[in-house]
Amino acid sequence: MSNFKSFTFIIILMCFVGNLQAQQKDTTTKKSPFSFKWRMPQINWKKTAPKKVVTNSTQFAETTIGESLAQAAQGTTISLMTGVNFTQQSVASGAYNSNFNYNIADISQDAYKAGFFGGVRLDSRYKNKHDYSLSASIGKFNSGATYTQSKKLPPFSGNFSSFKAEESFILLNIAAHYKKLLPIGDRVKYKFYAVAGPSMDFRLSGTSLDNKVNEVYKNMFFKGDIGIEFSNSKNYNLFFLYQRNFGSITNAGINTGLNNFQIGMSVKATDLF
Amino acid sequence: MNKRNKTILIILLMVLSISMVAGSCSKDTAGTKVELSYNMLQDKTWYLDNTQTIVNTTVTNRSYVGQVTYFINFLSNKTMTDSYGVSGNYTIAHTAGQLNMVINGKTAGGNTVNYNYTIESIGSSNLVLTYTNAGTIYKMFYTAK
Repeated sequence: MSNFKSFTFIIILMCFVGNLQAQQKDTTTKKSPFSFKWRMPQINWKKTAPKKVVTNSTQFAETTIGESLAQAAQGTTISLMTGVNFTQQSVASGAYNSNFNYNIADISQDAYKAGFFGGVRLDSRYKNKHDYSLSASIGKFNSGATYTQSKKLPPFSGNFSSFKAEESFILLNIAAHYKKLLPIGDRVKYKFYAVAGPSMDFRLSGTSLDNKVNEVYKNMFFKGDIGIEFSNSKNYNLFFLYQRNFGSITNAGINTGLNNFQIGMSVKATDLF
Repeated sequence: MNKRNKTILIILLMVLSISMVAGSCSKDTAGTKVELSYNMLQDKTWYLDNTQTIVNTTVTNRSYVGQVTYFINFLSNKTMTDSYGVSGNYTIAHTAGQLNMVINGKTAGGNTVNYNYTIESIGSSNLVLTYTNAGTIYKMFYTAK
């Protein structure tokens, strides 16, 4: 199953790369409608004759990845990003019942555990006014967990839970952030932004045997992100984000909040290739 | 392929990929419950600390904490021995929404003994087994040490 998920992730990455290449290829448009090598059915959204786009396959072959990124980066900045994350779960599982019991003293860890992430990011400006960024990243999240509700199992002493929180995840995160420039310092040399926006997480990893029992963890959930960002003349960005999920990342009456801090850096792809 | 069609293709591929990721979980929860139960149970010695005898609504508690008490040892090769000298095999199954444990053993004298328990709760160090006999419910509370 993990191979299957890896294959799916590769497809998603290929989609992103394909989308980036599509941006630069459309700069060579002509009006001739007869030079397609491979046609897809046309959808006429505006009920008018669509403009035909001509692509030059020989040009594709000669275009290197670096050149593609450089052309695509004319209107936007494409970056590679990486960093560390610190994650903690807060679990309220009092309404959840199962045949299994876990002594909370053994499984509770009120701590943020470190993980890492990496991905692709696109920075641009809407109507030459509103800065935003789009990103796709994959990360390994290790998590401590606190249990806010417990059960008794008399005559055994101690506090118990029928649910044990997962200790690690692999998540695909897709985020859209609005960036508000802050009037701090010399804005010609560097810029500070306040950053906020939604993000979507897809769980790529399976769960441990404890959580396969009832499959309570959701495969997809939404998060709200807020943070600050330091941009050094668009050569690199340093960012600090706090992410919190909306609702719960688990089903079956278990209310689980995922708190995550990200400290990361993004560097222009054209500087790397 | 023009930009619009390529964008549509990309969106379709992404939706398809995400759908596959979201729908690719295992649903064999009964088998998983049995496997997890074996993992929690095996290669430990379980000591009987407390019992409850329930007749109608009358509950009688008895504690063996601090005393020489009954114990049972479950091994990973699905065999067991207990403090009475019984040895044999044990099997966990998930039937009718319940986890059940069947022990087929023999005493030191060669007599066959069969136990059929319902696993009410199981953890890495706490186990609650129940069985019913002539309308009386017997609950046994074991601790792994």
